[in-house]
Amino acid sequence: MNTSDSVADPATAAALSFTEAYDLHADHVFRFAVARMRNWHDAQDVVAMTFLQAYGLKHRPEASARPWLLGVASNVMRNFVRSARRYRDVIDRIPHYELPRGEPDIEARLDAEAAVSGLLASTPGLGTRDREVLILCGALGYSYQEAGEALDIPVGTVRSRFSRAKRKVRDAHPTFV
Amino acid sequence: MNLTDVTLPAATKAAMRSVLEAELRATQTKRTRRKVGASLLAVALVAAGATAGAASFAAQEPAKDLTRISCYSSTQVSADPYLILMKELSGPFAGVNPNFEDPIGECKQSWPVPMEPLPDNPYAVRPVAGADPAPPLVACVLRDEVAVFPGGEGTCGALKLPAWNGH
Repeated sequence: MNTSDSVADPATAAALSFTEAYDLHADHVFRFAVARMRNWHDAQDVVAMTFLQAYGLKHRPEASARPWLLGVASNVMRNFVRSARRYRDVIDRIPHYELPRGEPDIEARLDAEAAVSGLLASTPGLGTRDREVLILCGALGYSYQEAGEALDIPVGTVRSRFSRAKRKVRDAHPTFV
Repeated sequence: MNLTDVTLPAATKAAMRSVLEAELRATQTKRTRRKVGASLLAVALVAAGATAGAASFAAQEPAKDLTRISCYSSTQVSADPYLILMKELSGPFAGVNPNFEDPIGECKQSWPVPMEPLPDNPYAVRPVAGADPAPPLVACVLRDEVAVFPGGEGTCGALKLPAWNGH
């Protein structure tokens, strides 16, 4: 886990231009989407829809940009079908490159995706809320505070959800955690 | 490789950035243009009188070179469109154009389902219970675009716009 990655970027959503925010945070949104959607292709669509939704707003909040964008992404994923229909014309213009099998880097990326997907899918009783906290804090290394900002829940709730999610994963996979 | 090392493929990231930039710029331009257009409309109507102003709009010729389809969720020229489909004149997607043969179909399939915020989470939304599907739509010509509004046969005339005849 990259701990330096978990430090919230101080720039606010209102202060960052689209290009600045995209360059800084598109990969963060993508990682969250890969883990949550369990699908490489859909995760790319989530990134596009997240930035369209976030930067289509007339006013952006004076909040840290990254957790805010992760929060927007979370909502996009909850309403994925509806969002995809809304932004269909834009998404269709974005080329989705096929992943060439056999290249070590690509294989490693697919392995990372598959590992998370398999873990989440094989853990019974893991609800969407617990899953999001587990992805943000456990797999992606964000702080409790940043996860709380992203999901708009208190830090204490993040802690309790993370603890509950870890317990469920541990019960399902005793050797993993 | 850990999940924290996963990144968007570079080619996808670059292509996505340029498509999103173009889309957001177009939306922003549209908003600004709408505000200016609405102001100019008000000034023109005050200056020329309601009757003369209406007559001048009624005489407007359909634009010859249409560049976009704009979809409106209300029957107001000054409203922000919920969707803008533009002709791609340059760049990697040049020639990928909206379907001017069926602008109503283009707008209907992306009709925005009304949403409302969740009481306990301002970021989250949910569809309004019992929300209506897309109403009947009608296509008019507004300067260099096909403008699709909710309405029927008389809607374009009421807006002082020519109806889109498909050509």
